[in-house]
Amino acid sequence: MEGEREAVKARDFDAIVGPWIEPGYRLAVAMLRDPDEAQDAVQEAAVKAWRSLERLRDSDQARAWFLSIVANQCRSTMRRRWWSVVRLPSRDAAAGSPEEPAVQYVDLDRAMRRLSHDDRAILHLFYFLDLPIDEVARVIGISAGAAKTRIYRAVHRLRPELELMEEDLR
Amino acid sequence: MTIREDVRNHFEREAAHHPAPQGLRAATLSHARGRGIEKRSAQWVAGVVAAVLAVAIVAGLVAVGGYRRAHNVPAVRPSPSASPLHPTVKGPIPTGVPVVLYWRTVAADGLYAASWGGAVYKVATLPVYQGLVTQSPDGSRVAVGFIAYDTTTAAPEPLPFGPNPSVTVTWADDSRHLCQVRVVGGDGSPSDISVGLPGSPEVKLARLGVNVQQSPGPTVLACSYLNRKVVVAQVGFGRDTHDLWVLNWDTGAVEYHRTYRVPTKYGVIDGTFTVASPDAQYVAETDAVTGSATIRRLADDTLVAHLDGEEVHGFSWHGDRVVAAPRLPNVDLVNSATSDPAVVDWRTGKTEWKAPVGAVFGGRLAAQPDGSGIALDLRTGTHGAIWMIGSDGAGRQVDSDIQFLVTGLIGLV
Repeated sequence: MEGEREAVKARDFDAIVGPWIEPGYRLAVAMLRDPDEAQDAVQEAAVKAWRSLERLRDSDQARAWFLSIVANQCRSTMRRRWWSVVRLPSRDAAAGSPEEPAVQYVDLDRAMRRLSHDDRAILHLFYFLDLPIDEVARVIGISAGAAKTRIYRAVHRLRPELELMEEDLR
Repeated sequence: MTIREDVRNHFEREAAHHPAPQGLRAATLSHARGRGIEKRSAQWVAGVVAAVLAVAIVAGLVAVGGYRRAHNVPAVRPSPSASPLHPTVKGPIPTGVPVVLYWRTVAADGLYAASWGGAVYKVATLPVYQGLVTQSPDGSRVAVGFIAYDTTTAAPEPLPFGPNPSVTVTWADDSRHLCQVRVVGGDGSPSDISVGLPGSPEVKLARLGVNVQQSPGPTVLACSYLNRKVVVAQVGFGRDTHDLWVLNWDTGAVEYHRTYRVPTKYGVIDGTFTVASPDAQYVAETDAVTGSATIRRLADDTLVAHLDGEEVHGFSWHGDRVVAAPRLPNVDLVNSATSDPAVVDWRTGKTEWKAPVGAVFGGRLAAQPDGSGIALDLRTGTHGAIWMIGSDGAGRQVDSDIQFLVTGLIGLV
């Protein structure tokens, strides 16, 4: 009986959580900017999702539910990573890829890297994953109104920085 | 190129730099299934081993006559509630004890409650993933999605509306009624403001304001069943208030209306950030240009206090004390002032409490029902903590390593 129950749970788990593993990884990369740590965060989030699968009452909510676990796991990782405040971007990340000569992207990428991990998460969810504002709010754990304000603030932080850089180049 | 395209391109380049590892999905699912089962087994084994060891130690102490003496030395009790980061959790919330809810972790069993005396309780496990959580002022209930739950028993009760993502609720000061804002249509449409009780139909008070994409739009600042008033603000992109209305709870009549200066175009620093006291008697207006705040008594539209170089984040229950933080003039309202928060009695101008050096206001606060206490979250680095400031101005940290307060005042954080 126990074995059968585990098998059913495993099947449900794969069907419900499976489609959101890669989006979860992408969100974790956006927040942590480190592919190895992102993979660890998604793995740990998946373990937590497995253990709390019974609490997910509506599988339509699976995307927001799993991404919110990933976001929380990333925040825990950041909290543990006390050295992150003095950590410099890796040489690869700072210089850009040699295969990508698009110099005009460098300033934007640099500006994005200067945003907080929560700001990058909220922009990733809204602009890249195209989540509706209510779902962005659920993932981050705030109200829809607060999510709108934070998107605006994040964009605001991004734009002035870009303008400033353009001025610096003149 | 639009900001959406800019941001999308950035994340697409990031995805190209750091593609998902091959087999990520299968490996992650398999790892989770394995670890989940293994952890449960390990926890069970560890529990059995701990119990056996405890029995053996107690038996040994009794045998050598040392059991009584053991009470005379400080005992180390390895229980989860004795964590050095968290205070002892006293079990479920006792009936009738007002509490402030907060998240240790954002999960179904991650909600905790602090009484105004500083005791910490565990909130019943709730299906928090089904929606946003807003607490009643006394913490006895939370609204999750379109259900109200008792925070001690988890007993559900339907809110006065069905599943509808365009409704935002705020608990009233009696902790039983609710104020609701419902977006009527699409972009550019107004909102309906209504009041109601869980389990009963809502009563519509007014249709006002406008909803523009990414703007909070019509927002309830205070919902007072006891004073029969609802304070609603039209909030713009950058926390700026365009209009403020006071509605009569019984008739929906507009008892007060004020319009504020608004930024004329993107990049222009102007506007006013407003918060209201929970009893709907006062509103604090922080001006982006002057970087100062005024306190306005709504009953007679009189300015009763001026806080020079301060942003006001919220009030105590009857509006006599505010949480304020130093603010510079000509700073965009979108940047809230959070460093060096303090509790100020605006009637005397006396600063009653100041946050520890280096701590910043996390953005959420709660007022002690019918009292003068204020609870707020403070952040030091990436660590959050819940603090309570009593009527005597003494502040104390109640719990640490928290995510944030629930409160009924979310929306403008």
